[in-house]
Parts: sequence; structure tokens; C-alpha cells
Amino acid sequence: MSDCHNNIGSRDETSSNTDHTQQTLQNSFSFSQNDANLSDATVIDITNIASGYRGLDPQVRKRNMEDTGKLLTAADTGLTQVVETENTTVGAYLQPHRPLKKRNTTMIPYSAITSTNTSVSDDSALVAVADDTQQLPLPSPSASPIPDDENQMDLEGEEGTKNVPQGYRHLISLPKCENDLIDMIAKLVELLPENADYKKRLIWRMLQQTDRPTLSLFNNAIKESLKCDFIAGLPFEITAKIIRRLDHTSLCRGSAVSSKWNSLFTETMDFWKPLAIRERLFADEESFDADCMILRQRFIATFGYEPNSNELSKMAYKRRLVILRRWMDPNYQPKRIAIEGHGQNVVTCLQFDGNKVITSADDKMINLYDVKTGEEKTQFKGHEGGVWAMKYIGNTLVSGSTDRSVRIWNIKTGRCTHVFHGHTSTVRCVEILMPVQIGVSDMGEPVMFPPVPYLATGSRDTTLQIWKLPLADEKDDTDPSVPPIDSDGNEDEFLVMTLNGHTGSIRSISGYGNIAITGSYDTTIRVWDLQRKCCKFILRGHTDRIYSVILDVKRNRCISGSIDSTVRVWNLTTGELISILHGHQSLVGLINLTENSLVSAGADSSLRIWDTETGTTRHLLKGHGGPITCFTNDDNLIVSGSDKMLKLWNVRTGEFIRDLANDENTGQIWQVKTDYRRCAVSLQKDDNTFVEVLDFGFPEPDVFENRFQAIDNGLNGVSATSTGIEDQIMSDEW
Amino acid sequence: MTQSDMKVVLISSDDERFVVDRKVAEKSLMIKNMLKHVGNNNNDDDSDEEEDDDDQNSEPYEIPISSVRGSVMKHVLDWCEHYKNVDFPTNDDGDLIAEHPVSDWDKEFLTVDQEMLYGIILAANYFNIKPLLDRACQQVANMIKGKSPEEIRKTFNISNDFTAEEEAAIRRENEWAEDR
Repeated sequence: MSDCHNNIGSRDETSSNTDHTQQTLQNSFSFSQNDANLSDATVIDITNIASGYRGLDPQVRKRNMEDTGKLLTAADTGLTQVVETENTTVGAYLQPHRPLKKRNTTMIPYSAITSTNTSVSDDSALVAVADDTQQLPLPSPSASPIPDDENQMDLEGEEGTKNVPQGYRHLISLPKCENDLIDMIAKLVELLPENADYKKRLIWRMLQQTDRPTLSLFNNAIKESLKCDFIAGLPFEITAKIIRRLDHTSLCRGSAVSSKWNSLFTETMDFWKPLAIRERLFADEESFDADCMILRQRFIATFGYEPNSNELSKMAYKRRLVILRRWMDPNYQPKRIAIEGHGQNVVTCLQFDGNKVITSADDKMINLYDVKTGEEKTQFKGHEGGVWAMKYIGNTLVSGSTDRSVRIWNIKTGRCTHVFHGHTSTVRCVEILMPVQIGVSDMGEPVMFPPVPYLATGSRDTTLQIWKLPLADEKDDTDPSVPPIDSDGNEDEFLVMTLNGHTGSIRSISGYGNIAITGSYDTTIRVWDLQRKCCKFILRGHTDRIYSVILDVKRNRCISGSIDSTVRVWNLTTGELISILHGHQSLVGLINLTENSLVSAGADSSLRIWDTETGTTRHLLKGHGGPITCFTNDDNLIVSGSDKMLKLWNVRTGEFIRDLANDENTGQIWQVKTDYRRCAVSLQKDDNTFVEVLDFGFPEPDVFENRFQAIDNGLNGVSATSTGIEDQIMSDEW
Repeated sequence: MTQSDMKVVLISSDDERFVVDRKVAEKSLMIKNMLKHVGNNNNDDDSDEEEDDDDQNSEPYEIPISSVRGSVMKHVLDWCEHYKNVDFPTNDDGDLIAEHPVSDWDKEFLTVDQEMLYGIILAANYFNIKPLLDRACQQVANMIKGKSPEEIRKTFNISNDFTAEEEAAIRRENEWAEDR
């Protein structure tokens, strides 16, 4: 075929003589010898007839016409019939005329080949082309307008058509004008068998006689006619593959293309949920489903019927996107609540959720505030020294203090339920390990570890202690006067093991399942197997104290940040160093890992977003005026704090979005955490310590506005307006 | 004859014959499965198998592919030839949309008229060549991305069968998704 392409449109060939053309064609197309029985004689016959008309005078045309009249009668009959010519029987090879089929009928605007205007517009000017056999659907003249004077033609042709059935007579009428001739040639073409290469050959010859401007014209028309509706035409599983690759804008625009597209985009599978998770608007399916449940309740309360689940997913997506855009918008003003607490003391830890903020400080206190109102709800009193480690899960809060003890609290009642005395120095870090599947037994049963929730505590005394974590149990915990159960860390039901090995203070712990890793001031990281109660690896390489370690469960790696100004990535299968992330100028105290990014922050007042695969800095975030004291990030945003500054960044692009501190009295930023809608910060203002909550989810996005489905339900497109009741439902639920 | 230099003949719906290396043809998991028991990788089988081997030595293995026409087959086999030495991960956990960008070569390869792209997609699906199918689907998705509904209609020659009222309602409902 490549030869053909060279021939078409090359200036030399367009006016070449027929013999040469014929030769080229024979070379260009490989004909199957056995598939067409139409004899050569007939082919030549027809070719001669067709070519014979060019330039002949009307009389000659008429004579030729009469000679071959019988052959012509066979065209377009829709029947297989036998017509005798001089020496060949051709009728037997005629194909039954096939009706135009919907799927493969390509509409070509006739204007596309008659003028330069190729836009699809006027239906009346369209020429239908049957394309059952996937041949080039060039505009076929077979559907050209039949001349108005059909009756007259019938009369004229009467002489030679005595034996021709009514209805086919126009086929043998003599061409009176060029239009008639074209019509006739087209009819002749239909004599050619559909399944062989004859038509291609014919079209090819015609193309070779065509000049370049006309070819260019055809080129456009052909391109236009080869367009196809992938979405509506392909099998659904492939269509779904295509739609799954679209972003939210295209998902919405696609549903506005046609009713077929609309139903494929909105009524088949849920394309929104996977997109929401892929774009990291939601951390996981659980959080997505939770949002859908709340929206469903609100929908039923508003409209009085069950919503379509795809529609719910779309609304859940929309809500998160609207809120994310507020974060990205430097002019949006989040709702702010500032709460005074902890006197003038340093806040050491902060954790929050949709209901509460809990902070611990070196004033020995742990405070709980309502995240929506800022009201102080509970103060957990008991530690005799500053609280330097704190974490909660469900209603169970654990804390570690300079008083060398670990305390377990019931968040609901505020009571300290347990005190663990085991460490001989400050408890500096705590980690909670919940039972997870760590493998499959020989019997095919899932192996879970730990057997019950574990608490891992690291201390300046260089040991790691593993405890059974008693989860808060409300039913027998209503009497605040019941004293906590004391464990002295000896042979009792709570201490599982004490792991020795480090020669310096343990500064950071991270754990999952049976693995715990600890980073120490002795410059090493230890990987512990809690199931076998042993140290699996000692990771050596850092040249100074380690401030933070993170376990990357998914990739079976561990990442460490050190005062030696490097971040290191370790392989937990082999215990080998994978890469050293260079760049920071001084101590790297803070690192954080999310699904798609690793971020580190240092005393050099910069943050770095790393490409862990290549070990290079993807983005360097500069702007802080002093050492970074805290930061938090997800896969969309980073919030970082330093003295007098709280900055918001875009993780994907590394761009600075805005300053979040709005008060010139802002002093040191101690801690910061975010979720999809809120940012909770502990900071100094005028030397006093505050907790501030910035809410980007206010006002609640109206996800029901302009619902298309409103039309179906007789609401005539009137958008659902929020009522006070709905707002209340919303604010209670989220 | 080793397994790798064994030839396979694929016969298209329009009777074109394509002689390719087994390695190239096996980019198609469909053909790979078909050829699983062909060739000399089954040493533990008895003499019947060996006779088969002898047959293949004299005559290449022919596979009629009645649902793919020659022009599309040529294109698909070009792709297989280009990637014959690349091992694609076989983990089949749905779509790995994970942003794997279409390479320049693939982009060039997939710059064909829509009828051909349509044919390639169906053929890749039929042959079970997942990376090709994924890339071709990505190509179609890229043709949709960033376009207005009217531009999409124009791109694929689709007629708008919404009433003006319906269209306006859909537009209102989806206003939020327009990134400004």
C-alpha cells in the first residue's frame, strides 16, 4: 500500500496515461485469485463502457448505451438475476443490494466535496454511504439525487428496455447530461462484487486521475467520514477504560455531549469514587463511603427519596473539590477559632478530628477542645512532669512524660485508667499498634499481629517497651474516683517486652504489625520484630543524632531524618541503605510520608519535597524566616510553621499559596495538623499559648444546587435551596 | 529450532498473511495462551508432542484471525515488534492509570485516523495486549480532555440530541466542575 500513497497526488502521476496507471495498480494491489469469479471479459467490458463516454458525442453515447443495455439492467435490483450478454453470464455474481445499516453508515456532507466548507451541518445535504465492509466510505454517488425528469427518461429508454421490469428502467436510460453520466457510472460500480478488491482498484484509479487540490478536498471529507463515536460504539468495558482516564471537568462535559454519552457517564458505573481516590481528595474508600452516607441522609431529608448512588459519589467528590479550591484560593477567608490554653507553655503534641482537638504541653496538662466551638471540654490531669508524647485512637488516649510514666486515659470520661511505670527516664515517643494481617499461615488462615492492641514507648533510658494497650471501655468507667491501675513494668499482665540495644535516647518510633523501628540519638535505627522479640536490623550510616523515623509499609522501607542534615531511605527486606537525600543545610528534625510524597523540613528554614525513586529534590520550598518547627501535609497541601510564620503550599507544584497566620502578634508556631477541611495550630500570641482552628469547610458547600435530575422530578430545574434544618443536619454530621 | 525463532503466521479477515516471530506474536496474551503447548517447552510430554514439533519445523504455525482486518493487523504487529523486548508487568489489578504517560513513540504510533484507532482498540482487546489497549484508551481520553461538549461532538462527529432546556440544565448542574 505504501507504493500507492506515493503515487497518489504525486504531480508526475496525476496526468499519467492509462496504461501506466493500470500497471501501477496491478502492482499495488494483490488480488486474491480465487475470490472473484467475475470474468476478465466482463470487467473490461464495463471499463470500456465507462471510459467510452468521455468526450464522445451524444450519438455515440447513445449507441454504446444500447449495446450494453442488457448488462445495465442488472444494477441496483436488490435481486440476483441472470442477464445474458454476448458471451458472459454476469447476473449470478451480483450481490443482493444491501440496505443501509445504521452503525456503519457514515454521513458525509456533500458540501465537503463540493466546496471548502466541511462542517457537518445541513442534514439535507448529507449523502449516506453504506460501509458494511469497512471499505473507504468515500462519498458514493449511488445516492446522488435522481434527476427530476425520471418519467421522461423512462420513455426515452423504452426502446431498449422492453424486457426490463418496472422500476429499473431509469438504469438504462441514456445519459442526457453529465449528471446522468455520473449516475450511470455509479450504478455500474455497484455491479462490482463487494468482497473483492475491485472497488478499491476503481477508486484508486479515479484518485490517480485527481489533481492535488481535489485530493486535499477529499482528504478532509475522508477524515471527517472516518470519525467515530468511541464512547458509544466500543464495548462497554473498553468505554469504561476510557472514561476512567478522564478528570472531573471532562467527566462532566462528557455527560453533556449526547444522551447516549450522558447515560454512559452517569448511569453505568461509578467513575467518581476511583477518581476521588486517585486525585487524593479522599485518603481511602472508607472515608469516601462515610461521606456518601452523610450525603445520602441529607439528600433524603431534602428531597424525600433515595438518591442514585453514582450521583451521591459525584456530590461527595464535588464537596471535597469545592473545599480544596478554598485552600488553594489565597483570598478565601477560613472561619477561625482561637482558644487560649496551657498558659505560656510549649505545646508538644497536637491531634484532632471532626469533633475534638487534643493538645499536650510541658505544663503537665493534656487539654481537649471542641473543634467546632473551641470550648474546652476536658483537662487530663495526672502527670507530674511535662507531657512530651501523646497519641489517641478512638476513645483511648496515651501520653508519656518527663515523670517517666506512661498514662492511659478514657477520652469520654476524662479519667486516667492506667499508669505504666517501667521506664527510668523521660518517655519521649509513643506508638499504637493495632492488630493487622501480617501473613498467611500454612493452613491458609490469615496471621494477625499483634494479638491485642500494643503500645510501644521509647525513652531517654534507651529502651523500647511494648505494652498491651487497654482500650477505653465506657461501661465500667463512669466513676471518676476509681484510681488508675498501676503497672510497675515487672512481671504483670501489661508489659509484653523490653527491647534493649540502643546506646542513646530513643527519639522516634514508627510501627505496623510486627515491625517497630526506632531512631535514636546513638545515630542508629533499629528494626524490631515484635513477634520474635528481637532486633532484626541495625541501620548504621547517619553521623549524628536521629530525630525522626517513618515506616513505609507499602514499599517495605524506612526513612530517617537526622541532625547530620541528611534524609536516608532504607530497605527493610535487606536492611540496606537505598539512598541518601542530600540538600538540607542543617538538622532535619521533621519528615512526613504520604501516599505520593515524602516531605522533610529542617533548621535551614526550608522544606523539601522528594522524589523517593530518584533520590532528588522535586521541590524546594523557601520562604520561612527561621527553622521549621512543625509541618503537616497530605497529597495536596503542606502547612508549615516557624517563628511568626504559618505557610500554605501546594504539594504537587511546590508553589507557595498563602500565609495562614493573620495576626502580627503571632509568635512561635508549636504544632500544626490538618485534615481535608481544617487546620489546627498551636502557637504563641503575645507570649500566651493558643490553639487556633481554621475551617475551610465553612460555609458548607451546596452540593445539591442545580441538580439536573430535578427536571425528572417535576421540579423544573429549580435548584434545591438550603434550609436552616439542612445546615444543622450537615454541621452535626461532618 | 528454538522456541524463540519459531515463526507464526497470522491470517487476517481479508486473507492477508503476516509472518512474525513467535516472540512478537506473544505480545498478545491470547496468542501466547494459544501457543502454550506448542513448541519445545514441554519436555515432559511424550512422542506426540515431538511429532508436532517436527510439523512446526517444516511449516510455520498458522492462526486465522477472522475479526481483524489486514490493515489493522499490520499496525498492531508493528507495535508488538517495537516492544518485543519489553516485558510489561503482568499484574492485572484493574487499571494502572497511575499516570503512566504515553511515550512519544506511542503517541506517534497512535496518530492515525479514527477508524484505524477504533480498529486498533478492538484488535488490542481481542488479542489481549493490555499495554496497547491502555495506551490507545489513553489516546482517546486525551482527545476528550480539555474540550467543550461542542468540541467533543465535532471531534467524533456526534449529533447533539438534547433539547435546549436539557442542555442548559446539564450545564448548570456541572458548572462547579469547570476549573477557573
